[in-house]
Amino acid sequence: MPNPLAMPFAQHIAHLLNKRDDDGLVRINPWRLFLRLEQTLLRGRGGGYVLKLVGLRTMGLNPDRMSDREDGVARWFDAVMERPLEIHSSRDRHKAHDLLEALVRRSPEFGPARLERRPSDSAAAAQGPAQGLYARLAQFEKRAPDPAVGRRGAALRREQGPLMLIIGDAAAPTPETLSVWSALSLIPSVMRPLEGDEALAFSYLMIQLIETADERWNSIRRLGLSPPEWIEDLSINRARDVGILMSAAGPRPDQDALAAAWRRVPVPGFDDLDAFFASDIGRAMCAPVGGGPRFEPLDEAPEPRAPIADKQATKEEMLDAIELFRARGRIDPFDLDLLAAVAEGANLTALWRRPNIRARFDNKAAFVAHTDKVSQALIREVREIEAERALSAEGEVREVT
Amino acid sequence: MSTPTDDSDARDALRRASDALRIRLARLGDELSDEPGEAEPAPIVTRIKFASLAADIGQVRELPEKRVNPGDPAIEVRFAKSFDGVTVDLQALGLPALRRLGGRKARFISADMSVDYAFRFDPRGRARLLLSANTAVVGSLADGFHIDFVEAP
Repeated sequence: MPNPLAMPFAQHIAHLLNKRDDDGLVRINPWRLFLRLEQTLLRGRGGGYVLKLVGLRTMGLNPDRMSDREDGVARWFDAVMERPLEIHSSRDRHKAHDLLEALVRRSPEFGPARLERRPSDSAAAAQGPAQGLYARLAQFEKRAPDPAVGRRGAALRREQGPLMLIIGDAAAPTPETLSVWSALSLIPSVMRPLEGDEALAFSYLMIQLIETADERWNSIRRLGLSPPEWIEDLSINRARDVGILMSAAGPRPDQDALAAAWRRVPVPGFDDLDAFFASDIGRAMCAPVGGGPRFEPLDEAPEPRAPIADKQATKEEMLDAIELFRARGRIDPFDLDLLAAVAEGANLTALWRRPNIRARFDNKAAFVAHTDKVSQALIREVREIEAERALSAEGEVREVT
Repeated sequence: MSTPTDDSDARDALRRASDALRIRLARLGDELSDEPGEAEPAPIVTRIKFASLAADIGQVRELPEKRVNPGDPAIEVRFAKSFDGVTVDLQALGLPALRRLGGRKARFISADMSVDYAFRFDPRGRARLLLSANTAVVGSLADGFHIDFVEAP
């Protein structure tokens, strides 16, 4: 399940990629973008990113020391933003390719651009403004080692040719496995800004990518383990199963609680609890073997969200959801009014003009910090509604049978 | 009685709505970060340029032993071929340059961007980079390069 902070971080990237110069165009080069993102991770959300997205403490690093923060952020960036994303077996490209296409299409200098599978002998050199982009792309293609193509990518290349970036008459192959950062580092030097639905669609794409790229790191971080130490050896499914076991055993469980949890939700792949204790992951979670496990969930609540949907919500869907929350009475009416205003399109300036908001918060920063709490409350509320609906559906099935 | 499709539609609609609302809330934070004095400090990147170094001798391009950019900050670049590749030694020249470059993050980028090396100057304004010595790298450097460094906040 995605890290709740993956969404605001991804939205922040989309925002930086839409900040206009005086002439209304967007200019940001990859390194400047990297430096901005590094600052955001180091200091943003009142230290929330470095603690809960990066998970600094799981790595034994000290959040009060800037050098430790930088170290942790660099490791997260390497493992998440630069993680090569393989093409899914049902698709002919990854969303990182969609990102590259979306970025290139925003150049006012290039003209029509698209990614399309074509025979490799259809490659054609670029002339004009896209030359620099193609030179960078050639470096990526050269650097990518064969295994990085991935099984699906290799098959697609054999059958349909490489995924060509086509701008005008020019065409050059793109790597089959792109990382989020590889796609971002091919950003055109000038881009047109996005508005309205187009801007939202870009935010959704960014969020899907960051949530996907962070999935493995996050699954390890949630166990309280150091992601850099485990990321090569612990699969997402194994991490999830271990998390289910430890959650079932409760906070600071003893041997009996673990044995009871094992009877309900054993970790697949182990014959019994002793075999689990004897494994690397079992030792890490329950060291010393047979002693009290040190597991303690880092987050107050399990993260409930499924990955972000492909489809965007309509305003009516948002307002219907708010009415449902209102009827349940768990979310503060003030926050529900805030959500309704946001669904109607109110921005920060418009909200800050409202006397009830100004009366409640000392400044805009305090108000924005509060919106983070509202976002967390939404996650909890949706989780509870889904759990209640699942229970009631189970009841209906029992009645019928 | 609700059908599985109804349930799944209702769940999807609720998640979609929740995601959309959360994105809109996250955007409020971005708006705030655009306001003066609210953003995380934007890094200032300064570029030190070195024009074409090439001494073309037929088809072979050679790197000079040393180049100095006397600008602000002043910096000396030395190239040496070694068994492993090309060693590039960078050294800030003078106290003002040392103050600006010492400990700073930087990148060494060739004109055609085929060499792109991220590094950090040590506290004495020095850095040593090891590049592969193939013809393309040497040729690319000979066409010029630049050093981008992040100014101290």
